[in-house]
Amino acid sequence: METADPPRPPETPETPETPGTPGSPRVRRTPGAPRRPRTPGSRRQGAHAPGARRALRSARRLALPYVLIAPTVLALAAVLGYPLVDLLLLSFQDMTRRQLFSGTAPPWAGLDHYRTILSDGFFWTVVGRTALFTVVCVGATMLLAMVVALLMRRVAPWVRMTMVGVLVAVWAMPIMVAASIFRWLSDADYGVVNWLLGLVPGLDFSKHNWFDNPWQGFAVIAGVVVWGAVPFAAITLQAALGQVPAELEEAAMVDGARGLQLFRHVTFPVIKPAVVLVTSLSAIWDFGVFNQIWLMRGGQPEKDYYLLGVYSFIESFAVNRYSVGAAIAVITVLMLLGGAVVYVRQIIRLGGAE
Amino acid sequence: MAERISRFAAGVGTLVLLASMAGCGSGDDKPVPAAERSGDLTVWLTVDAQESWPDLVSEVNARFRKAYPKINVRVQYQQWTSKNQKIDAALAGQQVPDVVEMGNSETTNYLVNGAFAPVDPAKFDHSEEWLGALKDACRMDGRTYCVPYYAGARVGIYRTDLLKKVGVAHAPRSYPELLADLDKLKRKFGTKDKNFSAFYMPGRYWYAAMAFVKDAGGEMAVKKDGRWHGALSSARSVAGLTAWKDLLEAYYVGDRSKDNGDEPAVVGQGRVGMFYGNTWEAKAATDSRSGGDPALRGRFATFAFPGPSGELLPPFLGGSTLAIPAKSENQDLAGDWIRMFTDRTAQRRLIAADTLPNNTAQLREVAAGGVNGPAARAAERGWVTPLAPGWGAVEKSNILQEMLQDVATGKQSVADAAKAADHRIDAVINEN
Amino acid sequence: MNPSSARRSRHGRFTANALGLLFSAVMAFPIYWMLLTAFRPAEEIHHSPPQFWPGHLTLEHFRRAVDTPTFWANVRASVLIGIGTVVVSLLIGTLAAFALARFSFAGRKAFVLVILGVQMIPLAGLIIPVYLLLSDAGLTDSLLGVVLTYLVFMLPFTVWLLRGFIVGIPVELEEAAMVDGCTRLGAFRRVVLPLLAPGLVATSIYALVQAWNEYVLAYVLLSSNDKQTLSIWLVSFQTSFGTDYGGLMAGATLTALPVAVFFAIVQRRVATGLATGAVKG
Repeated sequence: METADPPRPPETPETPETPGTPGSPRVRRTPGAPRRPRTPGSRRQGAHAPGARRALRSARRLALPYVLIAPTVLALAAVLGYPLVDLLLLSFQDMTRRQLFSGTAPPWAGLDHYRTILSDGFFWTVVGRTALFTVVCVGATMLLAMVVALLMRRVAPWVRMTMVGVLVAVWAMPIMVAASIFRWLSDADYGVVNWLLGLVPGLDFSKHNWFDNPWQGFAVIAGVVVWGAVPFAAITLQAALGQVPAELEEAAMVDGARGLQLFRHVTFPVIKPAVVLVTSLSAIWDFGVFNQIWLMRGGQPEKDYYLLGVYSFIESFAVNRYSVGAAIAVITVLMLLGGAVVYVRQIIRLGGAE
Repeated sequence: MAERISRFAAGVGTLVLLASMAGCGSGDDKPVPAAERSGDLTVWLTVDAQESWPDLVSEVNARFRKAYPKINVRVQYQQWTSKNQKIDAALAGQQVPDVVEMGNSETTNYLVNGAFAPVDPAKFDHSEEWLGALKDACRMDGRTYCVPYYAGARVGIYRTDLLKKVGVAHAPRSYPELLADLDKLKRKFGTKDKNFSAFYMPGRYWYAAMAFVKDAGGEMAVKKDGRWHGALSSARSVAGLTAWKDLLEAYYVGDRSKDNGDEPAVVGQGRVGMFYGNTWEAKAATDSRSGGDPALRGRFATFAFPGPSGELLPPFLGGSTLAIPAKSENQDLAGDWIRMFTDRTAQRRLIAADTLPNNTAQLREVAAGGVNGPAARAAERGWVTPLAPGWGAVEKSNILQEMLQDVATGKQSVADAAKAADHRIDAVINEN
Repeated sequence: MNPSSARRSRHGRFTANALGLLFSAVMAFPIYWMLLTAFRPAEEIHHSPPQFWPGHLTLEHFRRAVDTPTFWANVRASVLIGIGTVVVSLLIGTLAAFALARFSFAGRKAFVLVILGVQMIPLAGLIIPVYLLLSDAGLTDSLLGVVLTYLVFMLPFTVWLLRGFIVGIPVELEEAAMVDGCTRLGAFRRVVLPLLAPGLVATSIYALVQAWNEYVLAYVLLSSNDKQTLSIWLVSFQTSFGTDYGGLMAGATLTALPVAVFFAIVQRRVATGLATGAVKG
């Protein structure tokens, strides 16, 4: 079960995450085998050693985990709980500015907003667009990050330092600045991109507007999003790759595994938790993307550029239909939860020690 | 580290406590002499004041301090683009600012929803002669809820040197003359440089396009039987939009899906003969901080823009007003601050900063020969956006911009695009 | 290794290096453009066709940026909010992460779900409710209010990351310490915490970047210009007269610099922590 085992046959790549069934005896680590601290992505369940288990019998020990999570739970409940309930409530009411300003209770609307939204064709267009955008961005981010992370293990140290330096600098860049740089680079009147493309013989890109055609516009927006997301993903994946024991790969190579095969059957299973983590986080972030679109379209996105985040914001703050905006936000969360079922199941399994 | 944090938290906690106690102190109904009044007066102005007349703000604060030595005026500057969501949140909460600046096309919705306290116009200088465009935006059911602050009207701006090169010595005085000048510019410079626009008119520039609609006698929206309806697809509005589109089609070569946000930067690149804009844009086009080119200094002049109808093109009379939130606990102080900030002396300072004053009496003080003279002339024909509760939503959801973009790029015919826009306007314009 | 495979690997190394540099160049271009704009005179910024090398360098934009009246106050606000958020979220996040990594308790599943779900909530929808809550508590226009708000958005992520790090520390070490007479928490403090250092550092990066660059909430929650953070200050370079790209890029450089430096310092620690393998034997 442990990392020092020989490579597993491809049929059982899941083994590292298999949680121990309650009470099942755990394989203890061979004493003396060096264990490195895990990277963010690596989420193997720590063995509940018999000692700890025994300790649970004492009442104080029983209370300890609750004491430990109490500050977090309290903070979440205090600062997020009430606004969340408010949001949910708001989506069932009909809040206008009059009630907002005067503090009187808005009339009850029941499921009206949900009914209107869900039967609106435009809403579903936006949902489809958001889903497509998310899939493309997450796919591109993960692919690029994985290639970069693998590359970083093969390059000379000074090249690796350069790559890390660039990744770090990109990561530190505020979205607002990144968006204005990209907007400027892709500007129709004085953008560098058009000028560069114009250098290619036969292409005339002078005054070409990238946002005329939403497909091209979204390509630019996806560019900013992916550009900003790759550092987190690549650095996390690279750290995870560092956890793959060299012996494991060597053993597999002795067995004749090469290239993709080696990656799929040996490397990937070890870094899979990190991949799942980064993918789901990217998906969550990209699904709710707001700032990049808002800033790239100068605070006035056209209807063609609405994704769920923007749509909800416009309904709330531009059209002042706070309740409709809230309902869209609630639906967004529900969709994310639905889409994350896979991820949630994985986590439940990780938490399966109960 | 932990200790430092808790000390920090404790410090902030104490401050909060003190502030809330200070808030409770003034519960008495007994009138307190002005010199004895104490506390904070929070004023939200937009960044224009910070950029263009910061001295006026500090002078008024100094005058105010003389009257109320113990009141601390806190001026906080806001961005136009993101101001309203902040105001919405603040007005919903307990600690509201005491004075807020509102664009004159934004006020109606706040008035309808009871956000502001009424003011007595008699207390303010020149309130009899307030510009209609600003005054109307502040009135509802016979009461006044905000105070006009300043106005702006768009004019034509042209490159004097380029026009001279095609043998024209003065600004155009009629629409045919304008078109003739543009033809000359286009022939002379446009053939050599395919990026040269004789006339700069980005496709989403709705203040310009709506001026043509107004010039043709059209409307953006009309009120019928108590309800507002989009009117862009009326015959006259379509005629105006068509005139706008023809002008753009003939003389503009740039990006059609842009708005006029970076107009000074584009004009500053030197490939524009004329454009339609605010008077200060002539200056911004020569200021490197807004992307302009200092080498062009002294080569811009303004003119009152002639419309196809034969009269001056009626400009959108944009402007700002100052309002006192109904929840403010310092309404009298706020009123007094606004009184000082908008009195005739202050208005004179605004005129000096190339802005139009809030009243017709002082409009005459704007030098006819100065850069703002044409704007003052055009202002008499100025118009405002429909005073409908949902107009703010129409603007913020980009209905006009998207219609114009579709027209400019040829995605839709004028009539179709206008019909679609009316449909979208109808959906939101009556909403509170 | 036979000669042909050695040649192949040398060839592979060369390709890898070239690819790595190409990737770095493409990723770095927008940053290069930012620096270039920040350091070149205003006349060159909008030059058409664009120039890829600076004609001459100037600090004019930096001077203008630093001279904005609220600059140092904004730096102070950003630093306080950044440090406050990072320290508090690490402090209480570590405890929760420890509980998740080492104990099984009733409600664990629910807790995990909450931690996960919180990250899915779109921030825009919560602006007004959060504002109203803080307004009731008298915490609007207060740095503490912003720290609290950021805290709840950072915590789930912090807890989740730290949990991963703690799981990686062998529980045997704690047991050994407990045999030697330490309490559970004593063992945690003496054994786990030191080993957790790289994890804490890595997590603090994530939290700091988020807190440093957040814009929407900070804008709505902080109304005094001198309490606003640097990311709001940056927006002031976009005026109704147009964007002051020189000032904006100089400001952006100044804003990104502290995070990048922190990153650079810390990155090595994370790397060493991972490389030496904190646990021996």
